[in-house]
Amino acid sequence: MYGEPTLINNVETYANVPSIIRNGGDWYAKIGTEKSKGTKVFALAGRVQNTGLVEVPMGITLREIVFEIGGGIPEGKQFKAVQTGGPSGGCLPSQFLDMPVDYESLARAGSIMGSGGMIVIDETACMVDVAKYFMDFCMSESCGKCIPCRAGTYQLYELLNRITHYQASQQDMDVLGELCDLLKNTSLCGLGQSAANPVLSTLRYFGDEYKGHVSSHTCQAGVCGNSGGAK
Amino acid sequence: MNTAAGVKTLRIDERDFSARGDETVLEVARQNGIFIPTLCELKGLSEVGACRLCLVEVKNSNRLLPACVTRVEEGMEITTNSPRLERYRRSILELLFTERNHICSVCVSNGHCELQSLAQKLGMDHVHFPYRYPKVQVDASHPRFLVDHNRCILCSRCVRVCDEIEGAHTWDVKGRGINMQIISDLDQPWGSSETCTGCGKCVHVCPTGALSEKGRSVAEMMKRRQFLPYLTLMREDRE
Repeated sequence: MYGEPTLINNVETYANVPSIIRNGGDWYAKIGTEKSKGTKVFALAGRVQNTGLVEVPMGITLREIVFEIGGGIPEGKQFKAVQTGGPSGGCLPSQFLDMPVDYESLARAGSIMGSGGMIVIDETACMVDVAKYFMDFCMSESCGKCIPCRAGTYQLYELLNRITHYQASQQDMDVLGELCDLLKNTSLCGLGQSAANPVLSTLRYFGDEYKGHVSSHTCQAGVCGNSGGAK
Repeated sequence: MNTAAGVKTLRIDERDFSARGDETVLEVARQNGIFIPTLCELKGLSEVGACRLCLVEVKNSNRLLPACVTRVEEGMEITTNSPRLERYRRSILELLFTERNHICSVCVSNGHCELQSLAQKLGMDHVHFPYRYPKVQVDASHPRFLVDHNRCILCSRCVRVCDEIEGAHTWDVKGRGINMQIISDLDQPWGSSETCTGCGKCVHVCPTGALSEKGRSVAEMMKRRQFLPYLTLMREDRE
């Protein structure tokens, strides 16, 4: 910038620099796991007692973040999933609660560290409705330059809308999978390439909820009805 | 022409080729008679890599790459056609057909439309995504030309030719995502545009019937694009 060497990084990265200079790299590297070192700031939100920004050492478990720092789910409700990495991240079910949070583990489970967003979802939420919510976001964020993202996010949103209205067929489910694959592999930028993630991860871990909407017209969480989802 | 770029050797569809380092995969493929489908690309205009139809498989790359903006590299191994690419290309065409209202039988470009002929060539014999049937406008306010947004595929050729070749920049884009639309000047009727020179270049680069000349029948509305490479060549010579 202005003809000088320029460093562009996330604010979070810059915030780490003074303490690393003060205490040394070895000190910082002691925090965290073998491959993901240091700390990470998460924006904890959704159905938890304490929401807000939390800075935790890498490798901490999801359970510690949600139930100790977050104070657990309000109103005695059951934990269902945690959505990490922002709108284009993935939803992880309760079996991953004791997984250490680092870049590698999240990627292996089908999600991402992404923007550091962490949304806790409880039993009152329908996962198809959650996927629809995130697809709505991606659809309105699409710039429109490339066709897979411009029309693909629209078609995906409409499909999810049909599923939550109990109007989808098994064929629609096949098209859903096909469009996710198309977006992921042919979109021009990262937004379109990752826009299918919420659908893919909910399909992977909550496939029975999709199935319930399509074959028996039931919504486990009781969110969807003939009048449609929560939104 | 940049000769300093050096000569690169590469393989396209199991055949060996040599090319200048500043050439794109698409250019090399075309020079050697290998067909790669394109819609937004037009020789003489800048490339945007937006239509995603020219995506090709490159060995040791985990992503598909758009041939129109990918420069050749030493030792590249490219596959321009595969069942997977064919499937993606057909799906992309289907998305284009369902996005607006493309009704070939009543279109002035029927029989010489790039979207239509690509659909025929790539075997898009049916559409399995629901049609959107959006309500969009036709602007016939210009004395000589007409823009029908029902037939627009948002390739942005008109925007680029008006800006890069004519230098008027009458056309631009408004909105985003599925609501994106081509506009003249500050989203005003084309006929009231103060920047439009009436040159008609946009009409002739438009791949579909979205831009046409008024009063022309289907047979009369053949688009002539030879002027583009000619104009750019003349400019290069002068420089």
